[in-house]
Amino acid sequence: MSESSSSPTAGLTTSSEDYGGAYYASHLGGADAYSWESESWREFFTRMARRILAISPASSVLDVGCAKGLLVQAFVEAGADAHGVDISQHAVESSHPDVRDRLRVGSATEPIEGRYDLITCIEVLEHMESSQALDAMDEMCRATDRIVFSSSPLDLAEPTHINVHETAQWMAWFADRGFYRRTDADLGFITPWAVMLERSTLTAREVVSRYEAVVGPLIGETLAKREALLAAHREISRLEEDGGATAALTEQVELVKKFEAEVLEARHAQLLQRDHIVGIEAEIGRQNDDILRLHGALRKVTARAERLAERKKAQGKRISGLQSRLTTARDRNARLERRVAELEGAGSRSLAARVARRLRGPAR
Amino acid sequence: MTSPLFSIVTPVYDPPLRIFEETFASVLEQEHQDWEWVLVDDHSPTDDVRAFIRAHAATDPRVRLIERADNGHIVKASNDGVAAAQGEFLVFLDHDDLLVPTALKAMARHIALHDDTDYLYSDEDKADEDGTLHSPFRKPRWSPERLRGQMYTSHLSVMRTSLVREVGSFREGYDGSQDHDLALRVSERARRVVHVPQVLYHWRAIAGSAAADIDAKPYATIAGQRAVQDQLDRLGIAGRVEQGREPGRYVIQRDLDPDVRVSVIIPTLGGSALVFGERRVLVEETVRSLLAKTDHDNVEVVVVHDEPTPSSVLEVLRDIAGDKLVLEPYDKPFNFSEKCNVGALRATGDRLVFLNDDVEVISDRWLENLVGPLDEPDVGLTGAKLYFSDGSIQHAGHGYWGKHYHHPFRFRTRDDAGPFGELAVNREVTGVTAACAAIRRDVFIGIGGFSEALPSNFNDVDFCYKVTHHGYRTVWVANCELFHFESQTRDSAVQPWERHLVVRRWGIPDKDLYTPAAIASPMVDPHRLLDQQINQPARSRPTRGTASRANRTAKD
Repeated sequence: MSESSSSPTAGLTTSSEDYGGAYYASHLGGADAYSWESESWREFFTRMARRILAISPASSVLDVGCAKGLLVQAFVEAGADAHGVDISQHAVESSHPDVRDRLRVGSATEPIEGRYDLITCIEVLEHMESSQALDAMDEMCRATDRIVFSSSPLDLAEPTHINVHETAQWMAWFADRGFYRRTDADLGFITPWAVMLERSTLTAREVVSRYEAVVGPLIGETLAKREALLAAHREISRLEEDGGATAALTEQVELVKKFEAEVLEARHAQLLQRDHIVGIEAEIGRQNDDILRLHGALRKVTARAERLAERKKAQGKRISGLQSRLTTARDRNARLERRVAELEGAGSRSLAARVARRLRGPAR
Repeated sequence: MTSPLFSIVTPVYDPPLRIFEETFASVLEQEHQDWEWVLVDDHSPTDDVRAFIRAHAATDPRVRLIERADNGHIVKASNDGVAAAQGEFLVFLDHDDLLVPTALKAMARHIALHDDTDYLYSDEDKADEDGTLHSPFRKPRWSPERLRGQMYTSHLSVMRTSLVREVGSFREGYDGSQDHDLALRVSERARRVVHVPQVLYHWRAIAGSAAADIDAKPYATIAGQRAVQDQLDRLGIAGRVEQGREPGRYVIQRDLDPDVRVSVIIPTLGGSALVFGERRVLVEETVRSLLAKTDHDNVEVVVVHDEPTPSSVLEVLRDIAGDKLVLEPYDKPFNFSEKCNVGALRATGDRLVFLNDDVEVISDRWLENLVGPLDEPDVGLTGAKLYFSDGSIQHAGHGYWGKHYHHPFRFRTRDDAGPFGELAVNREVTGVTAACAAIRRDVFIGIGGFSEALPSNFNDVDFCYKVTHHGYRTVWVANCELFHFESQTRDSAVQPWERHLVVRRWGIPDKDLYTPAAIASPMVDPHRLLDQQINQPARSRPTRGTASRANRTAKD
């Protein structure tokens, strides 16, 4: 589409050169990654093709702005006779061999040969200069009665997004060409803003009722969400208001810690007291044992003292008895001595001496 | 008091008549008169003994002879005797052993003390063929755990006849250990088991009899192992019985319910020492080995660390123990008791294990074996077997006697089984060291933990007294072995007031009821002897007195 640069245009245009290897590398996860070999991309497009065909069966499909033809290949796998056109020579040339023949390098503004059951145009027109995009729409509407269309209303920072519009604008342009959104088909699996359009002749009443059927539930949903949002907002305000709430919680945690420490301390004190009591009880027990033992010993000693006192008394009696006997003996002795003296004075000495010895012997 | 009728039961099988006559005489000489003697001849091959008994039976109606028609061996013969007995108590006498003349009198005196006495056993010694008496076995007071380790009650055993019959008398298939099996079964049901601390029985050491050499009857030890295992199974004690270090000694490998949470409490300062030629942070190896040597996973390690403990040590402990580690800082002056108490209060386990930081676990399943016995409700405290770094014994239970607190069997070698198996089997003791001790939480709280009035010495002695005072048994576990690198961490000087405090509570230790002093001695510290040899003048030799002073007290 190199000639487009020379044609008079109102706005910015992009050319094939803008969509070389570097574009794919930086925008689609690396040059190698965006290919049929990549399992994740393959699965993504395979699912997309199957879902589109499930909503709207088609035997012939054209993908406008097909890039490396991944969607085309996915349609073929799903049983459709699919072709693709893209302005990027790099993209078409680096496509998978199985699909290479089904792809053509060319501009979307060029007339489309033949007719198709379905034309897909996904994330393409926002890259084209405004009037050329309208030309491309013209061509697509001429070649089919059904279009799957997606064009991002976002990503304004992307340098090649030179023609970004709200979906409502695109729908208006399609309506100018007799194509209307199928409000029964949700293409959210492609992009949040993807739509399926069909050529039809609708009365204003039919258009209104179609859109109202969608708008009504959406309004209801919005209302419910607003209410939920309000409630959440109020809850946040409330929590923020007793702003100390978190502070109070921290304080309580501190308090719990303090109580735990106190409980530990109390249990420790209890343990000490328990030991003290056990010790005192043991001491009392031991002392009671001592008392019993000493009591027994005391009784023995007392009994012995009594016995000794008895003995002492008996001995005393014996002593006084002996003393009186001694007195008696002394008296007798004195008497005998006197008698001896009498005899000594009277009889022979030798006889007296013999008598005296005999008498004194036992008296001693 | 009516004196009970004793039925002496003696299975007889071909004893030498000369020996048997002495046995016979020892019964006839009994001072206590109320006895009958049921002699069961187990079909002896010669008629001499039967004729001898018949002759006596003809003149003394108390002597009864039962003649078996066939040889039924010890179990059948003994059961015949039990069946025929008419007395209130059974007295088991072997056909070649001797009763002392006061044997039945002493038993009758102890029976009279309590109505519920079902089983009595006395001390015993051995008699050579020439009548020389030796090896008196001074037994401990009733020790159910010890009975699992060995048939220590043995002779003289007196059992209530009705109870023996209730448990089914002797069991077939336990020949050689049938007496051990019966003692286990009777003691399980006995309301009271009494130790009579007098030698009432002389066991003849005749070649081939168990008294001379239990090796002569290896089948007996296999039967004994089964008898003990049976008891564990009957009582629901999870464990496995193994043969011990000596024949007739049994070791129990206990299992621990995985749901039982165990808290190991280690007070530490994070100190280092030279151990086996390596400088190591003691507590690190303690924690490492304690976790490595057990299969029990439900464990927390509560390390009560003083302020000076280096943070690098705590980091290493975190690496070793991971989320099992609980760190409890301690910033007061050193008080071993308080550190233990703080750790215990912080701990979440049902079982508390106190461990010094200067130990290293040696034996596998140490924790299972140490904590397992606490499943029995009347066991309050357990302790371990500790060695010095040279492998000699540092701790094998406490003994409190003769005014002092002792470490019986100290300095004996690791492979020494003890005079009567004391070092080879689990046994009840008066106390254990807190260097490694396990206690149930409820018991710990109930006794008031460690007395903080005793900051460094004797706190474990007081602790053990308290456990006993509250009616619990203390079990020393022979197969829970650790090194204890003692005295590497603190000074052991004992102050007089420390001893006074313990004595004020518990009195002056006199006799130990589980470890008689005579059995435990000597406990001479070779290092101190060496010290004396070096420091004393050459002419004076160490006397008995200095040697006994060398016995270190229980808490150093």
